[in-house]
Amino acid sequence: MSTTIDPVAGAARAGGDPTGAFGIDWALIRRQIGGILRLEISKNLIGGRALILYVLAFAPVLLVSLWVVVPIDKGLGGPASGAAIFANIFPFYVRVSVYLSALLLFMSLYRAEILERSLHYYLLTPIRREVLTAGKYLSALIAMSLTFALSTALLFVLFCAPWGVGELMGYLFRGPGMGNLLAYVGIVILGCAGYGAVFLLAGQFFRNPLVPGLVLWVWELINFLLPPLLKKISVVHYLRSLYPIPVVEGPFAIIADPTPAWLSIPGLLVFTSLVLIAAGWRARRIEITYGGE
Amino acid sequence: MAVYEHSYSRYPGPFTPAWSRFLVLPRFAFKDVFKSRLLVFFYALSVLVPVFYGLAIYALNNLEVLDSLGNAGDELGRMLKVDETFFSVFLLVQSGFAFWLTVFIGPGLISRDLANNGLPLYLSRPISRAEYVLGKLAVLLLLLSGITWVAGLLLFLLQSSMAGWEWLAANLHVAAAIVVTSTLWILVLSLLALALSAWLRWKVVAGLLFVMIFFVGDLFALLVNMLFRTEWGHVFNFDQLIQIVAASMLGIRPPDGPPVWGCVLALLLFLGFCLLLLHRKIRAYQVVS
Amino acid sequence: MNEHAIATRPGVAATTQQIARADETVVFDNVSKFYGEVLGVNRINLTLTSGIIGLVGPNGSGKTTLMNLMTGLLRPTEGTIRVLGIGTDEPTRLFRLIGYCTQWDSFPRGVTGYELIYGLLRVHGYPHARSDELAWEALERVKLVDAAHRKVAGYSKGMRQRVRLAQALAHKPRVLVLDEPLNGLDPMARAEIIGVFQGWAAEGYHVIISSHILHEVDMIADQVILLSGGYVVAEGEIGGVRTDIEEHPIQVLIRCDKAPILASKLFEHDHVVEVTMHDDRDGLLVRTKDANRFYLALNELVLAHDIEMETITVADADVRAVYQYLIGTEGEATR
Repeated sequence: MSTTIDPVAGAARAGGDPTGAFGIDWALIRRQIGGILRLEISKNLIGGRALILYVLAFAPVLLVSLWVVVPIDKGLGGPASGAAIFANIFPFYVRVSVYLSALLLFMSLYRAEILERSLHYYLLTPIRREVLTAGKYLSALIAMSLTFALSTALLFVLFCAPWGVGELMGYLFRGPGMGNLLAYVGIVILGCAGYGAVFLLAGQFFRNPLVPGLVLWVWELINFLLPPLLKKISVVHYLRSLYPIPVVEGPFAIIADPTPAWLSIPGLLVFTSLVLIAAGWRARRIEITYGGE
Repeated sequence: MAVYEHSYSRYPGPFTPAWSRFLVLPRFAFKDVFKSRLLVFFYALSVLVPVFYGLAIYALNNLEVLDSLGNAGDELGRMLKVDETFFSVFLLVQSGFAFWLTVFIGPGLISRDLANNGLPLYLSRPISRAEYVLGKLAVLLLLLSGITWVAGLLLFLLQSSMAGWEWLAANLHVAAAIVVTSTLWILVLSLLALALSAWLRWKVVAGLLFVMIFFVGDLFALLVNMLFRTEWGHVFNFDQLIQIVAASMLGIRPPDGPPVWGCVLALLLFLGFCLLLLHRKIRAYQVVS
Repeated sequence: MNEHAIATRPGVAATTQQIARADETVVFDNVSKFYGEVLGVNRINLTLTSGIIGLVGPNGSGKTTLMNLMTGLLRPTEGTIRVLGIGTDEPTRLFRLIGYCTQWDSFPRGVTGYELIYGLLRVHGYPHARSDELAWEALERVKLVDAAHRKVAGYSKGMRQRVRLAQALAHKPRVLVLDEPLNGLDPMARAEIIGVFQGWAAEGYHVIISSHILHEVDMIADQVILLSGGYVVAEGEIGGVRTDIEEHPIQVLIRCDKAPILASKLFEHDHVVEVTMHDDRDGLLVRTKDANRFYLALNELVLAHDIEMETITVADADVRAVYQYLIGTEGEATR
């Protein structure tokens, strides 16, 4: 049995560059995040957890596919009326499918590994906890964004499809269809990013994130009933400001001025970044005491 | 020559009856459940509602009490009647309590055994897979029965004792509705919770999925109804199905939804599916793929 | 016996080895760890230089806590730890130098042995080719090449132990921390792994091994640190500890029908140092310095006095009893 030892340690051995801006070896961090993505993305896209994600994302797609093929009267409004139906359903899709998927996926990033007693493998590698958090967040964001971007696009197209391929193509490529579709996909990705950051942090603070997750869910669901000031303390309010097709919230809704896109997009991104910084800071304090779980 | 020292001898004492052996599981589970102060508080709260209903029955059957309340008593007597609607509201409230109790108790029942590789330990004893599931099921059956049909029947008997045997004879269908719909609801909640608990090692995810199936099911039902202009979408909305069954038994106006036979069929199919999930997962060994 | 490793406690005079450079030692400076109100380890002062060092103690004595503290998986409640001059809160530097084989028999779901080692090396920051090379080298070292592409969940206990060892040594650390590393290994694998540890120690590296089996550590380690109840209760060369144990009288519990007669006859033997009668006068606890002579004498007495024996049990054969002897009652030696 060999006992050869390579005593050289450090970034140089790992083929890394010397430190860059802010005294940080950015090339090493890129490689480390790449390593985490390799391990995590497959975990998020395959297995039991992913199955729930797929059900939430694609069950509506299946249902709408069925609606497309079943010969029932879909009105004479053409693809624009289909898009209007989609626009009315989309807020529920975000509040239910996107929200619950984010809750499940992002809160599991740390908590599930603590339960499986496998988090220590990461914590025994020469990686900053903030980088680990960022890597895990990115992996879940990529998996979820891919899934829900596809699901959203399919839903939009399917709702516009019953009036024939020609009408659909016309609406998508010669009308406002493609712009609307991309806007909805963008909103979904922003939703994944915002909710994801919140649940990543919640997963670090709460042993059982079910309760805060459900409380926040109710908050987001009843957002349309809240007074204007309280409305602004929610992800769904900023997302709604970006909807390309306006939605009527019902007779009991309290109307608040929508936040303009130039403010809501950077606002959401800044909010997400701040929550991620908090999650990274929290990750530095993680100790491995599996027995306590 | 080999010398064998036979120091081991079989236990010569009496055994508990085989039929009741599964009750060992709920006995230990109850200890765990009532360790949580939150659950004790919640369970106490869910018992308080029947007490309140009992007081209402007493008051409504007692003219002196109503008189002592003055105008409010007259108003109460006019507004409230101990009839089918009274019991249907009671069942609705208690169903809510049963749901949330299941959310917090059910998902951990099997998942903890799976996470700690405890299933082979149970199943290497003289206890079958069915008895194991029955034992776990008994935890929820007993707890939820206490706040639903047992409490409901007690209220029914209280009302019968105060209103007379004619009332009892005329309202036997109410007692039947209390027992049947409560049992259906308890079975739906318990079997679903156990099935999720068996398939997901993490009880938090099992709990989340449990809640999701009910809430998302409601919304999914609305979507189906809206797209296909039908009422059959409610087959994904289990509480609505139960309410339709309850309303038909109580003889009051049912909420929108499929016909009663459709509701019962959907519920039975769902219960069968949960049993199938349990059958596939509860095994004394682990399959590594 | 090499003199690489030393351990010091408050009040123990510094030796020449203590002057070893800070960047060559693992230093615990007044380290305590409490889990709420439960004591993990308390007031640990140690300086470990290279070589194989055995952490020995009964279950719950604080071995794993000490190792988790050393590797930054736990933060000390008080005190500081430096591994080759690096604090345990500096993961980017620490884990290039340290490898830890934990006792947790758990793995990320669905991975193969190769994927685990390779994937973690990528997280270290190694590029693909180097990660692949190091992963195969580590798997080769623990004899897992054939099973490398099988799911870890399907491994035997010994294989899972070996893949954990491979994960700990894949990046060729200078300090190897191994929590009960020989658990689950067959004798051949044990011998091979022990050979690896000894080879590494001979080259001047730190190998810190925990075990609750003194005999196991005896085979591997040159130096031993004995822990009990979260305290360091003894440290030094293994030979000294062994001598202590050999001189330690054993206790034998006897239940028979003529206990008083047996007690009086046993007292006539010089190797019997103490006999305690049970309250029911049907049993006695004998302490003897020479087990072989004691059992011969017992045979003769049983035949000579027609004694009907019910039970003969060595009362302190377990490790805990050895520690009890070494540390005194309830660990009072250190408190």
